[in-house]
Amino acid sequence: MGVDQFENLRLELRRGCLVVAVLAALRTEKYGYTLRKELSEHGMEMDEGTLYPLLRRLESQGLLESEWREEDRRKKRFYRLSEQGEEILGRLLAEWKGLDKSLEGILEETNHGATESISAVG
Amino acid sequence: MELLNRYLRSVKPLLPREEREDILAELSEEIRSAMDERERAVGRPLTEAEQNEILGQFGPPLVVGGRYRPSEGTLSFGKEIIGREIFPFYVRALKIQLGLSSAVVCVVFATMSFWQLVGFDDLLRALALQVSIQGSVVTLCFAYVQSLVRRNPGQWDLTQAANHPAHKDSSWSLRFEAIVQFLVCAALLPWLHTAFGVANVLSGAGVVTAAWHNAYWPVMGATVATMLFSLARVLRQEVSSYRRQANLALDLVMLATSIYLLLSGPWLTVVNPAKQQEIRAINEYVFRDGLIASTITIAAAAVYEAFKLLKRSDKAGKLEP
Repeated sequence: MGVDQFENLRLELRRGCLVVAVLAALRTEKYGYTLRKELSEHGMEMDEGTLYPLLRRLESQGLLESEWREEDRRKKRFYRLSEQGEEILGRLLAEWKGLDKSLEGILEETNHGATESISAVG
Repeated sequence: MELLNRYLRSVKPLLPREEREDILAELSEEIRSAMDERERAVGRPLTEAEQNEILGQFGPPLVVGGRYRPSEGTLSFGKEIIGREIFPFYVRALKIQLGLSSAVVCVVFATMSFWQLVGFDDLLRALALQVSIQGSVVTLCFAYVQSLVRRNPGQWDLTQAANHPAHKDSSWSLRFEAIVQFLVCAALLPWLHTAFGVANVLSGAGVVTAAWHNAYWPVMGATVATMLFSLARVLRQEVSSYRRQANLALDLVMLATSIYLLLSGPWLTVVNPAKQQEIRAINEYVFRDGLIASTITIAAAAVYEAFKLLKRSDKAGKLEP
């Protein structure tokens, strides 16, 4: 039960981060397979069935642009961040930094409170 | 690349129509890239098992197809019962089920109303009963499929099907046929229960005889067995190669039941003497003619299945050294 609960929360936490990671990685043009490998190398594992639908969704929202091109005698679909995507990514990263700072503040405060309580009991 | 092509063929009909070709091209490219990389790593062409392993990582076609559809929600009661990947197909199955039930209910009631034996509230009650029973059956089946997908996310095995005679037919068409068979049986089940199991079916005007009720267990048993077999075909492709034997067995059970019923008429005895004429007409035109038509149809189906089986065994015999 505890494992399931943790897994659900972990997936929920990662879901939003994956979108930011994909947008950030596509500041330089890539096709699906290389994008997935790059994300994986940075510890953002993403299964095949999740990445492609996500890319399509982001493209339909205007955040990505794509183009079919031939490389190594095979046709591949290359994705890159659109202008609108660039702007949204900037705002998301600012939001991310703000959240990170807030969370750190909360954690510091609660850690400090806990240390004080332990000293008082001692 | 035969396995890859088969995998793509299975995924294709499950994708949104307008983006189908584009998604398939991209999916194919991704899988080929993964296979190429593995080939470079091992320094030789991949075996069928290795290719199958890579395809397994992409997930069962039903799940892959569902991921490309817009999210329509999930079914959850505290815990998620049917996830977003297969939810669109669940909704579609419910719609087919609802349409099928409504059509059957309306046709049956329209026929019965010819003798003025049913009211509008009977129609609504029957419809509500059918929809709720069939809806529950469909929900249970999809919940089961979802639990299988969760337990074995990478267990999509195409090699078993490839080595089996069933492979001659398109895997998708066989699976689709099994799904349709399952849904039709699920739609028929409550009807058969009512037709063969309920004592008074015609609002007090006539009562079906004990001989008619004797057909309840053979008919219900054959229908449930067909549903289980269809479900097994959906889950394990290789089971489809026994479908002709199963169909023949079902036809023979139904044929024996139909002949037994035909010989045991009249099937409806009069309760209300004022309705004697109607009951006679029902015995003659609904029961007798209906049973004659069913017997002929089932016999023809049995002969067809037997012919196909003989043809297949003849062909297999010629291929053996």
